[in-house]
Amino acid sequence: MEKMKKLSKTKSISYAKWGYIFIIPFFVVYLIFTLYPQLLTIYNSFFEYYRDGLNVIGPNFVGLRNYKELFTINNAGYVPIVKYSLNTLILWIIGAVPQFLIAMLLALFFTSTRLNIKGQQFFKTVIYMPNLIMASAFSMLFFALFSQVGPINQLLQSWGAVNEPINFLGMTISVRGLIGLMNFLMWFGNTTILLMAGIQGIDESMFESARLDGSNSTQVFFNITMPLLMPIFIYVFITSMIGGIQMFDVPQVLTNGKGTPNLTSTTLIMYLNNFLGVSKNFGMAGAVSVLLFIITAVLSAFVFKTITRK
Amino acid sequence: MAEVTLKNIKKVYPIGDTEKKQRKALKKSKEENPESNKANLQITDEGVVAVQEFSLDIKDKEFVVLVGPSGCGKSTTLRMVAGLEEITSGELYIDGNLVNSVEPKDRDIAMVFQTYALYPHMTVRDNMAYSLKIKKLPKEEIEAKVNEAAEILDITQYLDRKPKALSGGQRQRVAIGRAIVRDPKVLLMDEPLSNLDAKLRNQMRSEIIKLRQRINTTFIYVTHDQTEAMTLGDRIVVMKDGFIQQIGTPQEVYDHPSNLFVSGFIGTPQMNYFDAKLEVENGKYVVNTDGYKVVLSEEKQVRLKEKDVKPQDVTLGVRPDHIVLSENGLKGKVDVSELMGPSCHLHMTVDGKDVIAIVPTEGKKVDYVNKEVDFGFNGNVCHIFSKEDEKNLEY
Repeated sequence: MEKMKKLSKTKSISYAKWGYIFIIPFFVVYLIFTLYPQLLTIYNSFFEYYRDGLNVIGPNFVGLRNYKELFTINNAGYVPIVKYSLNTLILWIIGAVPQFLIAMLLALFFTSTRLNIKGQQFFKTVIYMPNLIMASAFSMLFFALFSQVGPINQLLQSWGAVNEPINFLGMTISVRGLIGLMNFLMWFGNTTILLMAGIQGIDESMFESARLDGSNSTQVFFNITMPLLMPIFIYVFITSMIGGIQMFDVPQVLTNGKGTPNLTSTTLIMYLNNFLGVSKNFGMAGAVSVLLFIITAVLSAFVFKTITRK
Repeated sequence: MAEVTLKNIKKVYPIGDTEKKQRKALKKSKEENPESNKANLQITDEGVVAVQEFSLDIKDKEFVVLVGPSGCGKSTTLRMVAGLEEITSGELYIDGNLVNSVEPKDRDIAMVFQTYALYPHMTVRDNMAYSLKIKKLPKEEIEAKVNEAAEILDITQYLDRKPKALSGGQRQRVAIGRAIVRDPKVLLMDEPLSNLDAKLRNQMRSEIIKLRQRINTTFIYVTHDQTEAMTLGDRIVVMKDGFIQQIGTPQEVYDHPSNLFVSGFIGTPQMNYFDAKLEVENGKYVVNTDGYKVVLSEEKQVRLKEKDVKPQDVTLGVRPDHIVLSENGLKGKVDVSELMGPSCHLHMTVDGKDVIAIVPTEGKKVDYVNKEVDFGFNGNVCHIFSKEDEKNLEY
């Protein structure tokens, strides 16, 4: 009996507290640097709180006025949140559509047992490389390449393709195109790797069975590959979209923070960033942040639901 | 419904530089230690040879079973017939047409995979209808064909379920249903029962026999289970190391194994082997096992004489059910006795070798364990294999 008692005592030792001790540092950092600022942002969004010259106005509680202002036509004649949301969406689409198409094609090529491409590791590394470069550095490179005295204009002129240098950074179409191109180059490798992992996760016998059932490559893709790849594809799609919503450094550096020409490349985060410049408008910045948080949370919930769907 | 002809088929998987190095290492280790023949595939300068010199004529509506141990090339052969693997050399004909370079989709072949390969995002009905939809058959016809196949396989109640909501046996039926709904020229089955438990496997085996009677098509069935091979096939093809060892009806292969490998592979429990001498006494062939002499049957005498077999050291094979306990004969010590109901499997040690005998119990309880018993066999059940090339000396 004595022994039994001793045994049961030994068993009752809880190792859980060590678990808690180990995760304390994370929670401390999270509470101070993430949760507290988040709550403060939400709090600020209901206040009038900015700097006017040397005077600090507020904080005065104004309810939902900051949010209303976002959706109200401003002096320049547009609704700020709508204009910048559209900008962000367009910039994201220009980069994301080719990104998905090319990544899907590459993933299919690389995973095809029939093509059996040699030197896959090399190609995978090469296409992933741009993702390792800092976005702002990449953007600086493009800024230099496409400026009016940059190498691209010099090349075009030396070939006689143009007489005058093209103002790539002064036209809406080319600025948006360049931002899209940079985002595409930076992210298609990452998307390819994710889609490849997804395709490789599908049992090879599915494809073989479909081929024996009489399907050609297109039918195999649309009837077998795509439906089975859907959870991964939705994950890639939504994370890309969330990344798109947060697009900042590429257009910021390329347009020197101005969203030129005529604010057509100003994204939501650039808009948010502008409030934190001289005016230090924490109220408006808070309202934009909360709105972005809600959109991102809804999209994330959608991904979670899709992926965990049985 | 089709004839399938394989002529001198060979399959070689090319090897890369890393594998070349491995091959060198393997060769070296083999030279140093010839006993350790780990890989049973042949590795040559061309690559890994999975199948070679495979020639077989499969008749219309015949049920042929390819059987052999893992890595013997049976699945590769099946996949070459399906078009899922390229044929390195040789010719494959279906209904007289050379199909070496014909796409799988154009071969009119259906296949049941070991993993079932059901499309998880489609219902059972859609899985079965998929190939018919691709063929663009009218909806009513598809519906009728799916319903008919479902009825044959007794899966009508599961038609609107997804595969994940089915048990292993039900999934297997769906996989078979998906194959037969197309009325394929040839139906290929790649170890279809190996993922099922023993009871279900027995049940499905008998269902495949019934199915075969209902649908008139050519079957090629791959298995490593000799029981499946014996019970299902019109003919069985025993393979090892990419080579065909023997082709014949199950009875032929069981009664007249062409070599030591086939004799050991077909039949459970495995055949017993003894080191023996083939002698000629008074003009008759006699096997002498450690002084225990057995005169071979007339049939065997004729066959050995026809082949002019000389007296020599041989490996004698006797199946466990052909061993009888007798008063004079070889002596063995019983280590284990397994009661199987009507019979008892005695595991004996004879000169350091394991020997199994199946002894009828006839309702009596006899305890043989740790006892020494005498046993013998008749001349008509002896299989005599050459010590040199392990071939059956009679054939």
